[in-house]
Amino acid sequence: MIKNVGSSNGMLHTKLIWYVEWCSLIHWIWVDCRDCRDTHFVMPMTRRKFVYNNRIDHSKHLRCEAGSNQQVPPKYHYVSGPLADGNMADLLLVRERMMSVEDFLAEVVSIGEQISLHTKEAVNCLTGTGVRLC
Amino acid sequence: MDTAERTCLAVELVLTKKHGLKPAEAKRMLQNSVFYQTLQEDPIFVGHRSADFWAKEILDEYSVPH
Repeated sequence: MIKNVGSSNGMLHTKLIWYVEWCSLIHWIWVDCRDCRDTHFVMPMTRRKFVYNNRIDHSKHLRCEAGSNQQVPPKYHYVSGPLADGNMADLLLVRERMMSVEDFLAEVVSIGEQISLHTKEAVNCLTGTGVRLC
Repeated sequence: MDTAERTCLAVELVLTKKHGLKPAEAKRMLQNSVFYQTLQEDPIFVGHRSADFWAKEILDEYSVPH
């Protein structure tokens, strides 16, 4: 769940509740993020292209119309939005031109929501408030 | 071609092109591997790793240096 509580002095000020279910633990973590650039994709195809850009390893294959990738170099402090699922092995078939990029993009589906942190600045925004056993 | 077939094809390509195995040998190793069994039982789990990763798992299973 991501809650935007507005901005302060023209700077992004987003308060997030981040929860992760892992084994029998549920971690509740408040994130107070000031001055963090973020991106939250709402257009499914844009999100798919972003996912594709993040998974390939050659910049010449980047889908520029997606606007960005996360890795080369890291462009965002954190990324929130649909959690993408897909078949990693298909990337090799795309690279070998045995599968089209469009077919790869069509296979990427959302299986939930996620937030991923990519820089020290973003991690420094985290404040742990405890772990609750369930 | 379904997802499982595409995954096998990608792993075979890594075994032959990157690790120099002959196609028949690569196919035999792949079809008798834990990877192949896992692919049948849990294709979503397999889909989260790259073809490179699974090719190395197969080579490790057969104690082939890489």
